[in-house]
Formats: sequence, structure tokens, C-alpha cells
Amino acid sequence: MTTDINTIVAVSGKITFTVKTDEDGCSEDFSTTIEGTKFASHLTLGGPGPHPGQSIRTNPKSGPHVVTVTAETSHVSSRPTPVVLVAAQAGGGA
Amino acid sequence: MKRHRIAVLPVCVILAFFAVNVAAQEPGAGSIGGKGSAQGSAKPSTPVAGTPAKGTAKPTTKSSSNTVQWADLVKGGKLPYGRSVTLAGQLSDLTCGTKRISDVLSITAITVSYLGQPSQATAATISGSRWTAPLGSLPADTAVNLQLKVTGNVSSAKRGEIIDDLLADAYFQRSLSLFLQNANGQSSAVFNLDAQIMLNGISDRSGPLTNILQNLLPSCAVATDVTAAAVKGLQVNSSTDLLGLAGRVSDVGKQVDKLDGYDPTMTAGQLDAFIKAKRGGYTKSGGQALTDNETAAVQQAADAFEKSYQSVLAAFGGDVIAQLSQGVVLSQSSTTQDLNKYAGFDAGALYAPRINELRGYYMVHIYPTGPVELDTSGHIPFWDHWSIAVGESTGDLSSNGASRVKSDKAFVYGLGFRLNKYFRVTAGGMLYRDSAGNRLLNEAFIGPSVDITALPGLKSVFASSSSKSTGSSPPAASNSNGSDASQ
Repeated sequence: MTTDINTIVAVSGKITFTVKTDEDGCSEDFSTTIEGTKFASHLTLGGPGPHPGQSIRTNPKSGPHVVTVTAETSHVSSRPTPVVLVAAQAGGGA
Repeated sequence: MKRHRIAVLPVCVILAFFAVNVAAQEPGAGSIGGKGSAQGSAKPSTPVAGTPAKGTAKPTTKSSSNTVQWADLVKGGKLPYGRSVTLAGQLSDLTCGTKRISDVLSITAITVSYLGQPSQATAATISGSRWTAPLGSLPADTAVNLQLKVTGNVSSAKRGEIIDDLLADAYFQRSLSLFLQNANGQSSAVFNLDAQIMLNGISDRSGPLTNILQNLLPSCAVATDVTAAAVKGLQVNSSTDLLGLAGRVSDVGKQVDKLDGYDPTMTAGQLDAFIKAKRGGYTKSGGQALTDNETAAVQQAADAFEKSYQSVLAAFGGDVIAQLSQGVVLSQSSTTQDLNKYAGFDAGALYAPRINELRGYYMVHIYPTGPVELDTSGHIPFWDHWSIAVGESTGDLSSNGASRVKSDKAFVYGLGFRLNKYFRVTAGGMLYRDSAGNRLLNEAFIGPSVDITALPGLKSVFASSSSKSTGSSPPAASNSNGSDASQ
């Protein structure tokens, strides 16, 4: 299960973060809500330890926001993190 | 006939004194605040900049050098008055209390002004580690209060300290927590509004950022727009970096248990040094290698921290201009008042040997060289000891039953020589009506006297002062634009 969510960084069209899990890993939805809009991603992570580079698409949101990522099943949330969201460029791979 | 010779002698001495003194006058001394012209002229003087310093001896009123070293001034040196003065010194001479300003700021500009007088601040020239600032002429009859405004960028070494202090501040932490709670998931407009409120809170007059900047140089006043500039800099560089920095610090340690060399209580500055020292070579305590995921997670957390930290460092280094004021009250303000003395009023006793009488007298002593400095603790010119005296002898002190002086009234005149600030010896002649033959006679005399006007309680009778402030001065906020008050 998920034990911690940290290192939230905004990149083009999405936010990335690191998920820490116990030995069982995790398979659950991760979400963030921005201006009433919920953005979610299902992640399946095996084994213990940090799993860097996980992401949730936030396109087309942009500008400064405080975001919190929550593991829906584990009920673990990151700390609120100020980031500057960047909308993906048209034709980008976000 | 003999009495006539006695009368002629002091007159000749006086004339000789004048002749020698006129010859000793400096060329052009009266043109800019020269002797006797220190008051009354409305003509602004032309400052002389860049005059080379001549040694480190304390300048005095009649010093030949117009350049005063700031370090000497702080130690009790005196400003020459009535002529153009240039302040000079090393950047390292400028201190707030015991702290060198140059240790905190990379100094880019200095302005100097007289506080409390309608004079314009003058800009200093900074060349390498030295600075010079033309002051213009120092007006006579004034206690002087100088003010320096030092402008500079916070030095790189201090920027890290500022950030660490801010992140550790309880008010900042409470404000940050409230901000994150209020802005969580809200729009950019809400974010910007709340961020502005928070940044204003930490940068107002009593805010933690203001206090931290003031504590860097505790004895100086920090201009109120410092933190406004800081906030502006942070906004330009995105306030998210500052508002998220505390979290970034903790993220690094969350990735693995017991990261070698990492301490959860590290400040941002310490974490920065830790990351730079590791150069990606992270291990667990005991040298155990990290897994690939752990290495990547630590590196991502470290990269995110460094991005925010360097951004905040840049905001304080590139956009924050700390303006500092240093009020200085000359410790010898009483001396400055003494400088204005053109004359003194003495009481003393004279002895006339030929008639064997000890008599009291009052005399006005006029300084022919212009206003002089009474404080003899410094070196003062020889001629400033001398004065021309006229007065009246009013009574016999020797209980001579039958005084030769008719009605006990005599005119006295002569030359005075000041021994120190208060005491003087006068020699001259006493002109009186002989009670025996009713003739007008002259007797030589000599006697000590006390300069009554040098006594603290009576000084203002002969030397006025427009400012008698003492202690530390507030920062200059009221320097009005106007003509040079000097002269």
C-alpha cells in the first residue's frame, strides 16, 4: 500500500511525484482536484520503496496552484505543494 | 616719562601681534568659509571632492587638510568647519555597531547628508575598497549630525542565512500553513491573492523578513522598502519557490531511511551544501548502495529543492537592495559649539607690581584669528591661544587701605594667552586716575583669569547652537531638498 506521496513537480501538461509503498506495492487511483476539477491516474507499483516519476495529467490547467495528490484507496495524501502548472503545447505529448 | 614708556610697551606688543597674524593668514582663507565668514553668508560653497587624505591624525578646526577619514571621525575626530569637507574611508570602515556593513552587503552606493538641516545628500564615489564623499561646508554654530545611507546587494553568503532564518521563523511557518490550506486546489487568482497577503505579512514593518534583514545589521535602520523589493523579487522569480521550499527540504530525506550524511534538522543552506558535496553519490548509512529507484527518487527530490533554493537565492541577491542608514552624532558636539567662539569673557585678578596692588578685573578677550576651538585636547594652532583683551578693573583685592586707583575704576587692556579651555594669563596695562595727583597713569600688570563663557552653563552666551542632539539618530527621512545650509 501507499505510505507517502512527495516531490510534486509540475511539467508540461502534468504533475509528477514520487510514491512510496510498502512491500506489497500498490494498485490504486491517485488524484488531485484543481478549481473543482478532479484529475486522476491509476498507478500500479510493485515492491517496496520510492517510485519516482509518477504523474497525473492536469492539462489544460496552468498558472500557480497549490496541489495535493491523494491515493484514493490508501487514503494517503501529499502535503499541499505550490507549483506552477504548465499547459501542454498543442501537439505535445502530455 | 618712565610711565609713558610703560604705556607704550603693551601697545607695541599688540601692534606686533596684528602684524604677525596678518602675515600668517592663509591665502584665500576668507573666500569659502574662511575666518570670520563662517556665518552670515548665504552663498553656497563648492564642495571639494577627492582631496587626498593627509595621514590619519585627527583633523582639527584649522587643519590644512579638508579630507576627514570616517574612521577617525567615528573615533572622535573633528570636522573642520567653515570650509568644504570631503569624507573618505574604506568600505570596511562602515559598520553597524560591531558589524561591518561590507560583510553583509556588496556596497554599490553611499550618500552622505547632514541630518536635521535642509541640505541635499551627496553621493560618494566608490573606487575599489575606498569611498569619498564631498560634504560641502560645515556651518558654524551648529552641532553636526551626519548620516550615511549605504545601498547594496545582500552578499551571497548572507542570502542563505536570510532564507534559513525565514524558514525557521514561527510567524512564517504559521502564515505558510494558512496559505497552503486556503489556496489548496483553488484558482490561480486565489493563489496570487493569498500569496500576496502572505508576502506582505512577512515583509511589513514588523514582519519576519524585515526583522531578519534588520538583525543582519542591528545598529542600523533598514529602509522600509527593502522587503517590498524582496517581495517584488520573489514574485518575479515565482513565489512558489519560496512557498514550497520548506517542503522541498523535507522531501529529500523522505526517499530512503538513513540517507548517509542527511540530517532531518538540516536547514536549506545545509541541505544545499550536502547535495553539492554528494554530487549524486548518495548511499545509506554504513555505505550501503541505494537501489536505482531510490537513487532516482533522491535525485529528483534534490533537483526540485535546488531549483527552488537557487531561485529564492537569486531573488534576494538580484532584486533586493538593502538601504541602510547610519546616524552619527558627533560625540564632541560641545566642542563644535566651542568652535564658534570669537570672544570670551574672563574674570580674574591682576597684579600691578609698581603700585603693589592686587585687583579684580573683567575683560573681554577677542580672538583675532577668528573663531577658535577651546578644547586643547587636540593640536590647535599657536595663534589660537592668543587674544586681545579689554576690560575694567573694579576693585582692590589686596586690602590696600589707600588704593592709588581713584574711585576703584580702571581701564585694563593687554594680551591674553589661553593655557587650556578655562584658564588664561593676561598681561597688559591698566589706565587709571591717580587718587594722589589726579593724573592719568598707566601701570603694567599680569594676572590669571577664568573664561566664564567656557563654563558649560554659560557657553551658549557666546556660542549658539542650532542642534544639541545626542545619542543615536533616527534614519534620515526628512532631508528636504533645498539650498545648502552651510554658510
